[in-house]
This record gives sequence, C-alpha cells and structure tokens, in this order.
Amino acid sequence: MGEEADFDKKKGHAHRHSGRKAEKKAAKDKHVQELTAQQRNPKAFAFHSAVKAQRKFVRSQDIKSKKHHIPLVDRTPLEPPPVIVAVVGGPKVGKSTLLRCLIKNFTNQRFSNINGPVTIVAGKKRRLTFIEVNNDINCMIDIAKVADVILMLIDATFGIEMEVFEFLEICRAHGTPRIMGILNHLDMLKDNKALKKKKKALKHRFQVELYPGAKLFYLSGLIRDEYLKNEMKNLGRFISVLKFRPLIWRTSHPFVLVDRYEDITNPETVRINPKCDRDVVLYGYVRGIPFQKSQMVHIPGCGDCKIKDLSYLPDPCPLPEQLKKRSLNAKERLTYAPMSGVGGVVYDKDAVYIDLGNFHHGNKARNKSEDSEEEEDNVLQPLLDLQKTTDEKQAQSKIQLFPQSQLISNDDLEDDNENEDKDGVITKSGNGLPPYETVTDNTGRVRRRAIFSDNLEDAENGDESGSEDDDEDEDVEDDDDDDDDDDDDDDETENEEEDDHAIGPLRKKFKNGLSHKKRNQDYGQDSDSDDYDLDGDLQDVNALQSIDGNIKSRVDSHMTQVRKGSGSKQQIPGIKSNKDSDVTAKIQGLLEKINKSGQNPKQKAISDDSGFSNEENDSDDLIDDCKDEIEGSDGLLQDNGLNVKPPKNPETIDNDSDDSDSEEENDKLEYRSEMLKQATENFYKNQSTVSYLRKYIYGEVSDDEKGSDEAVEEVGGLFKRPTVPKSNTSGPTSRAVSDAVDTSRYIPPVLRNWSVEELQNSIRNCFVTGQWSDDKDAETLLKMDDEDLYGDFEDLETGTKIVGTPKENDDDGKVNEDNLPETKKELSAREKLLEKKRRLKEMFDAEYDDKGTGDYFDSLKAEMNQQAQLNRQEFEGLDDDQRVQYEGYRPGMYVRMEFTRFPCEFITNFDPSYPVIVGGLLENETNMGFIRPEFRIAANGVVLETDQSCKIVKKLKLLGNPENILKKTAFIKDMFHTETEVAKFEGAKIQTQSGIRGIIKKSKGQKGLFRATFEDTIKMSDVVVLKTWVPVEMVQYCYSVHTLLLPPSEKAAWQGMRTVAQLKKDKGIRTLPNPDSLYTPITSRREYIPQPLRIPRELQKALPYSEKPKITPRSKKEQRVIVVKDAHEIQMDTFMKRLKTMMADKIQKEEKANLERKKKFKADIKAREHTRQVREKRKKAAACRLTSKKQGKKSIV
Amino acid sequence: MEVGGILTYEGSNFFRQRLILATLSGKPVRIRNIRTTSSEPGLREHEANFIRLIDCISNGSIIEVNETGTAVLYKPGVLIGGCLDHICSNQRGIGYFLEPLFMLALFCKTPLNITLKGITNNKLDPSVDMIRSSLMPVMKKILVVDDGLSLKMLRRGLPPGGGGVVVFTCPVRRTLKSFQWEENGKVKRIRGISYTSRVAPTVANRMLDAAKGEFLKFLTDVYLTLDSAKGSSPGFGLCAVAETNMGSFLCAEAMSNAPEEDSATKLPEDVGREAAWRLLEEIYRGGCVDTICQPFVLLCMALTPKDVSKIVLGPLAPYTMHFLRHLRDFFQVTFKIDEYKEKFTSDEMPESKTGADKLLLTCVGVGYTNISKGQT
Repeated sequence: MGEEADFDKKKGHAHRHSGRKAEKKAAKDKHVQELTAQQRNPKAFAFHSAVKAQRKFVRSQDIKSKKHHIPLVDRTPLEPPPVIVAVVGGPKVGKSTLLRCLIKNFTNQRFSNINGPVTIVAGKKRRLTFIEVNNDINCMIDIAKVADVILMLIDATFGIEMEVFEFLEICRAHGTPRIMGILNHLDMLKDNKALKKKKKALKHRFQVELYPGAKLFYLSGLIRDEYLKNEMKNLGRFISVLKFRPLIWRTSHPFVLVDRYEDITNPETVRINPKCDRDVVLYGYVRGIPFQKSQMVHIPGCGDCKIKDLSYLPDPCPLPEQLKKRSLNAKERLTYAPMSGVGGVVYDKDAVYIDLGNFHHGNKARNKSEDSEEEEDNVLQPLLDLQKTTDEKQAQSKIQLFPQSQLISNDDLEDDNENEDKDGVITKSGNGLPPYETVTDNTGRVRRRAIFSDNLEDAENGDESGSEDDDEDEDVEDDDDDDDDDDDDDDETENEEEDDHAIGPLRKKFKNGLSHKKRNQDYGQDSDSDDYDLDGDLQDVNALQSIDGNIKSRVDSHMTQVRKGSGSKQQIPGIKSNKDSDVTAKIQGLLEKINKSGQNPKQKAISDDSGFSNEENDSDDLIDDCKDEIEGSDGLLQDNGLNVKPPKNPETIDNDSDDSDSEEENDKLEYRSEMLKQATENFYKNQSTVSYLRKYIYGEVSDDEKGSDEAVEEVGGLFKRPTVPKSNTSGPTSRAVSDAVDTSRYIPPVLRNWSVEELQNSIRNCFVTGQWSDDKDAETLLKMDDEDLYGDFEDLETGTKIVGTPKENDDDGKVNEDNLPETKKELSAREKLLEKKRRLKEMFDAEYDDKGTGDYFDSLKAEMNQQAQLNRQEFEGLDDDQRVQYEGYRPGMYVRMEFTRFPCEFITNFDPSYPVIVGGLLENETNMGFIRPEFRIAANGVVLETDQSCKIVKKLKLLGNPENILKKTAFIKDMFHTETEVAKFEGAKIQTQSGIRGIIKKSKGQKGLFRATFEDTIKMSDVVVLKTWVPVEMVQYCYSVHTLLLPPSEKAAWQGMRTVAQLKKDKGIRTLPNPDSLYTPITSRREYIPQPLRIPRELQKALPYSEKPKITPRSKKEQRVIVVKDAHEIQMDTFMKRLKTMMADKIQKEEKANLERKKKFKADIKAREHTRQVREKRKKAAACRLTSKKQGKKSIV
Repeated sequence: MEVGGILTYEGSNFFRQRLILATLSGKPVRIRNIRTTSSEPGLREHEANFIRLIDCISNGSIIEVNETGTAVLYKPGVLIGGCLDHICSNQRGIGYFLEPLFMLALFCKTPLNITLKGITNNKLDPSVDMIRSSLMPVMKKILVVDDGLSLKMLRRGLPPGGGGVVVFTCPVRRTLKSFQWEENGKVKRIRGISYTSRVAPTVANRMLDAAKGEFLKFLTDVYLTLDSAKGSSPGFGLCAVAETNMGSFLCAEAMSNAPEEDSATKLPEDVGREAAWRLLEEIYRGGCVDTICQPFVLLCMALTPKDVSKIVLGPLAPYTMHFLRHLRDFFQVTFKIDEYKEKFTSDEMPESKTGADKLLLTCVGVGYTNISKGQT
C-alpha cells in the first residue's frame, strides 16, 4: 500500500502554537467561519417541489435499505473456533512463503516446512488456522466451503490466473467468504510507470470480479526469502481485525477441519492384512454449529460415515486467559500444527517423534514434554500427547495391557520376557500378542517396542541394549515426571535435569504401538472422554489373566501409594497421567455421585482409588464393589419418595450413578413399564421432582452405548454380572406397554370432583378473576405509582417536610406486610423499587432512546440479538459434560472423532496438503434423491429442489392418415397396429396438420383402424397427429468422489467428469451433421441486375448542380419508329386534322366572346358600385349631420 | 435401539410418533413384534390406514409389512403434500390422523390441502373440535403468518357410523422460528361448543347449562355455542376451551357413550359437568399449551434452527414423555427439564393457587430445514 511513501517522508517542521510567530500567522489568515452552501444561502435549498422532495426521500430510503442485510442470528460462541485463513493462488506464486512469513509474524517462529493446517493464537480474542490450498479442484471446493478468509495471491508479472477465477466461481456457490487479494512479485517489474499501470489494471480487474472496493494488498518484494516485515505486519493486522458475516451453509452445518489424524487399528490386524479397514481418529475444532454425538458425517473425497465416538479434548491452542494486558507475551503465542510437526509431535505412519528442537525459548518449553512448566501447560501437554492412541486401540490389542499388568503383579511371565530380550532380539510374547524388541538410548534408557510387519523395516538404530526391568522402572519414572508435577515438585525438577542430560538426540522416537507413555495417556483420555466405559476394558482384562483373590489387597496398596503422592517403582504408569486436573475433577464428580447414591464412606474410598488407578483389575473390582453397595442402597433410593421401582438389576443403578454414561436397553424397557405404572399412580406428586422426570425420560445420563453391556456379558467366567434376562423385553408388562393403545389424548385416571371448594381454590389464581402476581397486579402497580407521587417531598416554599403516610393495610389482608419479618419486607420493598425503576426506564426508552425508526428491519434485528443473547446465556453455567448433552459439541471445542471401518487408503495415501474436512449431515440430508439443479455456466450449478422420484417424459407423436372421410367423421389408419392400442387411446385428442381438432372415437375392425370425429371436414391429404408423452426412466446413479484416498500420483490427475467432446473422442463416436448445415458448392446463382437509381424530383431540385442527374434530351434518346401510313389512314389523318382545326377555331371564337362578355359584366358592376357608393355617401352625410346636431346641443348644455 | 443402522422398536404403541419422526428425520425405522401375543396379531385397520395416509402425502417412501403384519419396515421418502383426499378408518377418529398431519404438513414440498372423511368425535382420540381449538392456535403461533391455515369441519360424524368430513389446509415452511413461551397467563374467557347428533336438540342445552354452571364459579366470560347435526349415528358431547390473556388455549371435552358400547348411556348433564371438570383439570395442569399439544410443540421446538427455545408446560403426559424419548432417538435432541419458578411471586401469598407445578423445557433446535421445499 502506501508504505514506501511513508518511509521516504521527512519529518516536517513543527508548527508554533503560541508566541509571536503564531500570533503573526493567525493575524495573516483571518479565519472566517466556514459555512456550508446551505448555511450561507438557505433560500437556495428551500423546499420547492413536492415531487422532487418525494423523489429525494425515496432515493435516500433506497440507499439506506440497500445497505441492509437480512439479519441473522449470530451463533458464534463466546470462545469461537480459530478463523480459517486459506492461501490460494496459482502454482509458484508464493503461497508457502506468504504462509511462512505470516506465521512468523504472529509467532516469531520459523517453520521449515508446513503441512496441513497451522493454528496459532493471533491475539487476545482471535486464533487463526492457516491452510495452504493446492491447485486441485477438489481442494478448492473443500476449502471454499470452510474458509473464513481467503488470501488470494496474484502474480503481478503474469496477471490473474485461471485458478483464481475458478476459485472465485467456486466460492460463489457456497456464499463468498472474505477475500483479500494480494499482488505479489511486484519487484519483478522494474519500470515504475509500468508497475503503477499494472497495479491499477489488476486492481480494477479484481474489483470487477469480486465487488467494487475489494481490497488488494501489495507485496513489494522479498528480502532474504521473506516478505517485508511491515507488510506482513499490516496484513496480519488486517486479518486479525476482520469481521465476518455468517454464511448460510456454515450456520446450518457443523464441520471440522481436521488438523490431526491417527490410525488406531490393531497393529496385528494390519500386519495380517495391510489392506484391512482401519479405525481412524480425527481431531479438529468444531465449527459452524454444534456437532451431535453419533452424527452422520461426510468427508469430501472419502465418503459418508457415522461417527463412532465423539469426545471433546482440552484446547491444544487456547486463548490467553486473562485479557488485562495489551498484547500477548511469547508464551501465549501458541502454535499448533501436528501435521507439520509443531506442537511437540511429528507424525509418521507408525511413530511419534517428540521434537525437542531449537525453538524459540517460549515455545521450547511447550514442545518439550519433559520440561517443567506452569501448571496449566502441564495439564495440557500430557493430554495433548495422549490423543495419539485411544482406548480402542488398547481395547483391541491386548499386548499393551499385558506387560502393564505384569508390572503390577510381578508375575513370573514378565521374568520370562526379561530373560529373553537382553540384546535387542525380537521377542515373542505369546498369548497372541505381537513380538516386541528392546531399544536402548545412548543414555541407557531402554524401551520396548512392538514389532509389526510394517515396522520391521525401520527397526531402530544400533544403540539398543540393557536389561528389561531397569527400563521399566525408568520408564515409569519418566512418565511420572511428565504428568505428575503437582504431586512433588522436587522430584520433578530433579528428573527434569536428568532428562535434559539424558536426551541426547533431538528427537526421541517412540514406537506407536507399545510406548508406555502413550498408553498411559490413553487411559487418561479414556476417563476424560465422555463415554468411557469401564466395561469395555473389562473384556480385555478378562482375556488377560485371572487375578481375583488378591485384588482387594492390591487396591489398598495402590490407595496408599496414591496418597503418598510419590510414584513408587511398583506403581503402574497409568496412575500418573490421570492426574490431570480435568480427570480428577471428573472423578470427583463421579465420586460424589456414587457417594450420593451409596451414601457410604467406605465406598468413597474405593471409588477414589478407582479414579486414580487405571489398572483394569482395579476398576473392575470397583464395579463389583459398587454393585454391592448400590444393591444395598436400592432401598434408600426407593425411599426417596420417588416411587421408583427398585431395578432388578444392580447394573442399572450402577450405570446411572457413575459417569460412564451408559444406559442399558433393559433400563429403557423398565422405564417404559414404569411409565404405565406412573400413569395410574399419583401423577402430580411424581412429577414434582424434576430430576426424577429427567431420569425417567432420558435415563439420567445421555447416551446409551449398547456395546458396553454386551461387552460386559462377555466377561465370562470371572466376573459374572447378573444381567437382566432378555426375556424381560417380551415380558407381560413391557408387552402391555409396547402394544398399548396409541393415543395422544391424556385422560386423567380419576376425574376429580371440582365442585369441592378446596380444589376450586387450588386453581383460583389461574383465572383473571384471581390474585395476580405483584408485577402484574393493577392494584399494586397503582399503589406503587401512588407512593411515588405522594411520597416524601419537601415543600421548598414553606420549608415544611411532608412525609407520605404509610398506606394502611387493606382490610382484606392481601397486603399484610406487618406480619413479615423486617428484613424480608425491606428486601421486597427494594425489589419493588428496582422493578419500578426498570419499568420507568423501559417506558422512557420506548419513548426516546430505543425509538429507532420503528421499522420492520429494526425490530427483526433486535429480535435476532435477543435470540443470540439467549443462546449464549442459556447453558453458560453448566459444565461441559452436561452442555454437550443439550447443545452438542459446540463450535470452538477441540474434538476427537473416532471412525471405524475407514478405507485403508486414507492412511496409506494420506497427503497433508489435501484438506480433510468432516462435515456433519443434517437429519434429512442423508437421503438419496433426484436433484433439480440450475446451471449457470456449464461448469457448476445450484441445487434447487430434491425429491425421491421425479417424472420425466418424452414427447411422442403418432401419425395416421385418413382412409375414408364422411363429412366430419373420418376413419384413420396407420396410427395403431391393434385394437387394444386404439382402446387405450379412446377419447384422446388428435389434430390434423392444418389445425383441425378431433377426438378418437372407436376402434373400427382390424389393424388399428379407428373412427374419429373432427370439428370440420378434413381432407384425404391431411396427416392426423396424436401427441402423447412417454415416461422416461431416470438412471439412478451416485458417484462418490474418492480423491482423498487416491495415491499421490493420481490425486492431481483426478478428473471428475469428462466433457462430451472427450467422451466422444474416447469412444470414437462421431455425430453425423445435419446435411442442411453442410457447405456445398454453389451450383446456380441468378445474375444480379441492379435497379436504376431513382432520385425523387424534390431531391433533385435541392441538389447542387454538380450532383444533379444530367438530363439528356429525350429526342435523342428515343428515336421514334417511322410509321408508314396507308391511304385510308392518311384520309383519316387529314380528316382528323380538319376536325382539330375546326375545333381550335371554334374554341378561339368562344374565348373571344367570353372575354367580351366579361368586360361588359365588369363595367356594369363597376357602374353599379359607383351608384351605390354615392348613395351611401349621401346617407352618411345625412346621418352625420343628424348626430352632430345632437352633439352640438349637448355641447351647449 | 439400533439394529444394522436402522432404528428398531417393538410393539404397536407410539406407532404414529415413530413413523412421523422417521419421515421428518429421513431415517428408516423398523417396528417389530406388533401385537404378537394378542389374539389378533399384526397391524390393525387404522394403522394400515395411517400407513396409507403417510404414503399418499409422501413420494418415494417404501413400506414393507411382513405377512402376518407384525413387523413394519418404513423407509421414508419426501413429503410432497398437495391436494388430497383420504378416507379414514372408522376404528379411530379423524383426530388420530389429523395430529400427525399437523406435524408433517409444515414440511411438505407443496402446501397440503387434505379432505379427511371419518369419525370427527370419539372418546379415544382428540376430536376435531378439540384440535381446532387447541392445536390450531399453537400452529398459528408457530407459523407466525398463517397464510392459508385452516381446519374446517364440513360435517360432523360420530361413531360408529362416522361420515364426518374435515378439510385441513396448511402452508409449508422452509424453517421454523425458535420461540420462548414462558408465560401461560391467566384464563380470561371460556368458549365451547355443545354438539348433538341425531338426538333431541334440547340435549345440547342441558349439557351447556351443566357446564356453564361449573365455569361460572370462576369466570363470567363463558360462552358456549350449540351445534345440532344430522349424522348417521347418535351421540352428543361438549368441548370447552379456555383462553388466557397471553394467548394460550387449554382445551378439554367429554362425550356420550357410543351406542355400540355396553356401558350405560350418560345423562347430558353428566357429560356437561364432566367436560367442565376436565377443563378445570386441564387448567390445573396449566402450561403454555395443553396436554394434547405437548408433543407437537416439542417437535416444533426441536426442529427450529440452532437456537434456544423454551416453553412452560404442565405435567407431562406419558405420551409426551415417550415423544421426548423418540425425539432423542431420531434427532438427538435432549430437552433440559427444569422446574418452572414464577417470577415475582409475592411474599404475601403462601400458596400460589395456580394449579400443578409447571415445568420449563429448554432445547436447542437441530437446525432442521425443509429441503424438499424448492428454492422459491
């Protein structure tokens, strides 16, 4: 923009404000008050014409209303998701450089290579997700749907490329986001004038394409492979203050831009079949509207699938908490870009690197998970890392559990392993578990890594040795340090130092499958996630081993360990990661619940333990314990006056009371049977407790995972659970409910006798005749006004103080304030006062402040604002677990979505430069149907309507000829072949070519001959036409785009649709052209004879002489043909001549006579005239004399 | 319960709810074990009739019923609406068919104009009078602009003969608006209709007098009309509606026993009093809408854009509770149920005397759009 100019500008002289010079200057230019033209000459602007005034008003109103947008409810949450900034442009235009520079501008961090989205904290209230868009049409389409801001790079040396146009067109289909053009490579243009011209031309073009006034940013050049700092700063500022208008598609669909993914398939199954369906976890911020649990989603380029599990995670890139400061400090400038290896972790296919690299000091702390940090970071960091694998993985791959449990129990099994794997040998661990190998760091740390077929290739560097049990211990300790800072700080710092020494190489590689740490983190996450079910784990445990007898004792020992707070060697690693604040909070909640239901201190202790220990055995034990406790407490529950039928199954309560959020099918049915009972029982009393009702309807907790209870049943020999027999579903009670009469009408079981006074009194105030509440009651309102009017006031003139007498209480005792306690009265009085003030304010506002223009637009806007406010406030107080139930996973939450049965190509062919978007499908969008698109240009269209089936018909004209015509009746042949065909068309309208209409009457005989009548007699030459329609079957086809799944080489080459020309070329189809439109040699052409030019006479006259057509004498032109006359003709000629002469002579004579006569006549008239005039004169003279006589007399008088 | 990706239910109860919600959500539904233990298993006539009705207002829906009629698989299509005619089964009243139509009509492709023939008043289902005086105002409020909403009873038909004719027209909407109805107000007037069919017209007057006597204990603005129809079957009844100053309507009715029933014939006075008491009961229950409107209004709340809607209801009927459950199954909407505390209840009044405790139901809409309705 104008930066260059700003640089060159010299500092000007300071102007004097006081002193002699200032006075002098002031004296020099006398300031005349500036008046507008209207002020100077008001008359000139006076109101002249009503029409003009009206037009002016209309115009101003038009302009005003043009600015309006349809008001929409603003659904952005308090903590909005990061704004997606997409960098678009042709190849080699500088997208990556720009991205790098922008990120550096915000975070002071230089990225070597950027893959996938990068989320950063840009300001106190804004986070940005940058993403580079490659030039694949699918990527463009995907990004156009989700991006909030688009930085459109244009190469100034080249001009606007097709990519840009394509992208703009794509954007329009979804609602155009904010687009900011950036003109790049300006330094290539050396000539200043050409540069200016180019800038102007491109800006104009850009504005034509987008909208007038669209911003175009200029990047003047590179310095050391980076754009100028202040230019970046400006651009960054622009981005971080942009405001967005909600787009319809986005405000009605939830979506996630995936910034991280994880393959959690059991490595064993992958080993057996590398092409097996995968279990995949995707991570990202929810945007748009809230996501629902188990929603159908569409992943562009991959297909539709159902979310198996959805849970929210702590924000990996949170906004700063306190906003007092003006700017962010280095620590708050967080970055999160897992795909490009920032944020501590780098992803390979099967391994996780923790980057301890030479980052900026602020970031370094964050990146090193071993480092000690502030508490908040410590809480986050382990959780961040946790998400690498999930409960699913460990649930399926039993190996992970196995060594762990070994550790605890110190089984001899472990010893076996220990013996074998001394020297980095691949070890079989039996029990169907994958083999593992041991790897030693140069510090001597040894880790065990599972080896799978695909892992074998990159088996580790040579420094692996050491003994097994040492490793274990160290491992454990390390993990302690990571996660358990708050427990003992001393320990932590020590370990930290140790770590710093220990970790020689910058990157430490953990194998995905077996890393202890990760596993632990998984546990943490499990308990964190909403739907963590202990039951799922039970299954695995069962498969593992049978530790039954000494569970109790071990539980106790763990408890003590936990209390001590130091991680002993025996302690399982899982304990530590669970100590995140979130988790503990959760557990606390769980405890309370259990406590409430159980009301047993002892149980609390046990559950406490379960919360902290993730050992499956423990938790299992806990469940058993809980069951016992709860069974005991059933009675208690029942006594609560809720009239709950004691569930036969202790599990019911167990599930309800703990937070595992699982409700069983059986419960449902039981509730249903309950309902019937309830209907007959005392209805109102039951309903009085809302919590009961909630439980009644929704089963207390939101989700029912039927998987959980199935899993439990599989527990088998060891932990048998008394499951409710399935027969319950077909039991007599449930059957009765499920087959009851389906009616919405609710007739109370007993009709109460409303003639009883008591009952009548209970609804007395439901009527307008009853007592009104204070804020509505006219009487109280009046009284309040009275108080106001006749309250305390001081008469200023007399100086007397008049105190309003407190109103006497009405005798009817409605307002009996004296009986109330003093404080309460005061309080109510104050409330009343407040209320009154509020009302007064409302009245005032209505009259003056919020008057607005009172039009529809304003009221609509106000309504929308109110709704937005309500949306934000309604669930504010609730904790996230509950909020998620009611609202879904609201935008701004960082979620983890689990999918099963994902195509393996998604993993194998993953390319971070292709965005992965998970878009939620609305309820009715999952249906297939026919769509009615409207094509704008031949390239893209807009869906107007959808339907399940549609009628498409084709015109069909049947022709026939008359066979016989009898006046208006005719027999038509050749139209049909059989009688039945005719029968089908009886009564159909037919028509001849000339337009005579008719109707098919009846089949006549054979071969489709029929009788028809017409409105007029037709001719034998007429062709009779029957116009009909033939339904056309639509080909149902659905082609899903699988670009995400293609191998990288094919990704770019993918083509959605071939053009007709391409299709024809490929298939060798040639259309035969219409012979009429072919070029043929011209055989006979009539010679052109130009018409003589005729100039109208009038025009000829007007023409100058030179232009005038030259008239050649006629005589010359036309030679008369010499006529030779015969004798008779000569005779006739002479005769005619004579006649003519005679005639001429006669005429001459007559003319002469006429002339004479005329002369005579004229003379006569002249004479007459003369005499007349004389007479007139005489008359006149006489008259004059008479009048003069009269006047003379008068004059005398 | 979900089996193979299809929501599966058991038993014939809430048949309509399930089909309606399946249609709106576009999810297929399977209902099994319909009256398997009953002496006459399988679908009844009215259920089959209802399926036919659903089929005729939608396009592309697939309904598979097994041989015995004990299992139904329903794959919904697109609601098309249009001008239709339907003869309802005489097993159930027109109300049985009309209620689902209220829920579906808003989301058709073209405005619905349907003529229903059958029984207008019976004891089991909400009568057409009742629907007109309680569901219609709610529908009007939800539509905001009622362009072409009407429910006309052209002829009254009582069981068992039937022969009633009702015309229902309803406009379509692309989206609904979220609403907050947090005040039910106080009853300001009571209106009603006292109808007879093939009985002496004085019966209507007798009912009216009895009912009015009850109402006058609370309110003076009571006005009941008479309607004496010539139908195919004899019967009489009274339907009364209470209107509050906040524009909510509470409705109740009672009617005589049908001739086929074994029970003794009722006196007109008894019927009148019963209707009155039922209305008082309904007033006692209170809420911004009455009991039969509860499912409808909750559905409308759930189908709004992603905004918060609130409503105050009286005690929930069992049918409504199941409806809430089904709503969660189909739309994953969970309602927040709270006790409703009236604002500024004065301290002087120890008891509010406003009937049963009210509930405040809050939900966030699913962001439902009627995609079958074309783009203008």
